[in-house]
Amino acid sequence: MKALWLREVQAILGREDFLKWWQSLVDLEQKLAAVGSRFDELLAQVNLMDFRAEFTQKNAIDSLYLAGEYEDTAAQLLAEASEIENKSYEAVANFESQRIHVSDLFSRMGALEHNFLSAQTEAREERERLEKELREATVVYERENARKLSLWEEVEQMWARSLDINLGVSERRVKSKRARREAERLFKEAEQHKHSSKALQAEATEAEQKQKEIQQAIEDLRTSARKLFGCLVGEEFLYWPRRENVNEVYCVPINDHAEGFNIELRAKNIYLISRQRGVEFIEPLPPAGDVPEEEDGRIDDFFRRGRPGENAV
Amino acid sequence: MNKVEELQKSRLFEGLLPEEIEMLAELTQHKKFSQGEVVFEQGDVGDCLYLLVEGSVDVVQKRKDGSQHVIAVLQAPDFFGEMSLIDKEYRSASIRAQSETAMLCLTNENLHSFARVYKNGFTLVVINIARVLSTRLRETNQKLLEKM
Repeated sequence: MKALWLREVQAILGREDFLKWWQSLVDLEQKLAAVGSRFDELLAQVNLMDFRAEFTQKNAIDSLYLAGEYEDTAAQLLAEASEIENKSYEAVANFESQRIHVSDLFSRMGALEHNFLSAQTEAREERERLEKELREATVVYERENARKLSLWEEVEQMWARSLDINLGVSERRVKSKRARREAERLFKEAEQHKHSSKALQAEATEAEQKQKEIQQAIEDLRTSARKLFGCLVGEEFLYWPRRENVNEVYCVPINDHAEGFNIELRAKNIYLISRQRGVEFIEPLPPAGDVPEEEDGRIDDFFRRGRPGENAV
Repeated sequence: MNKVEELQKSRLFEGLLPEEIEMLAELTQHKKFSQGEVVFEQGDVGDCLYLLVEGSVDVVQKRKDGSQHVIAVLQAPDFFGEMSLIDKEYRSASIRAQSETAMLCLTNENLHSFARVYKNGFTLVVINIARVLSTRLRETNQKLLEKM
């Protein structure tokens, strides 16, 4: 590659084929940025969708376990209900026996009371004996009657408990069905997420492929520049060795750069760099013609000028 | 922001030719600072000067006891950081943006590029810096005298 004069570099930059080349490169870089951005977005969406699918599946499994637990509890309660029912039959039988016994005692007490009342005119000993018998019968009656009432309370408690359990069983069965339906719904949702994830993955793969194609096109364009314009092509600059000074190189930025370099750069402007430092230090072009120093009287004027005002020391 | 116009307003570049101002414009960079942001700290290595274009800054110095004092407030088109271009010492004060601030920054190296191409222009810039420093020194002397 030969070194060029400034006017030759300027001529290249003004050519129609260069301007077309440059525009193609800028367009491809913009496309690459857009496709790259889309690819990143798709990847993020794929990851999110995968996470959602996994999370939903986990929730579906949890729901299924919960349904199972409800069913187990319902079965246990049902067993308890059967047991209570059996016990309640026994309790009812006991109560019936006790009720009959208490009825007998009541009849006996009634008879004793009648005898006692009838024996008003009998001898005092007889009256006392009857009174004592009546008292004893009353005590027995009250005791047995209390027992009867207690047995009935027991029966009622068993029935209440049985009702409670039956209601609990049906509630748990309903909950179990609901949990199963929820599990089905969540499994379906998880499937949908997996399906979406696959579709996004396919789209991401396509974007990645497109990215590679554009990168290749950019590479080809860069390679062609060397032949067409006789320059070196870097990531962000074109370079031509400087004919005026072998230690320096002309560099032309492909894009604008407000930051990142020691000066602000505009695309397609020509700048100077040294071979050693490259774009670590970029300088603007020196002026076309030098101002002859003997014509520049500014420094002489400074020394010839008088002292300003009253503050001079 | 038109860099050429901003540079022309500054005392630092008085007497420079249009092509000199244009080259300096290419060698300066825009910088923005939000309110409260520190431009540089006292004690930092000084490698550039700043020309205020918009907003204002506090010049803050730290005493030996650690207390901080605002010793001056600068506004456009004031400049600061020029001492380090001359004596290459550490920053003598901190600069903090008082409001949203825009500046032009000229580094030592970029000024060197200018000096290689425009020797007389560079000499004038140094004369202008010396003038400003001289004015400040006269003012400081006067204040000291009044306190004695």
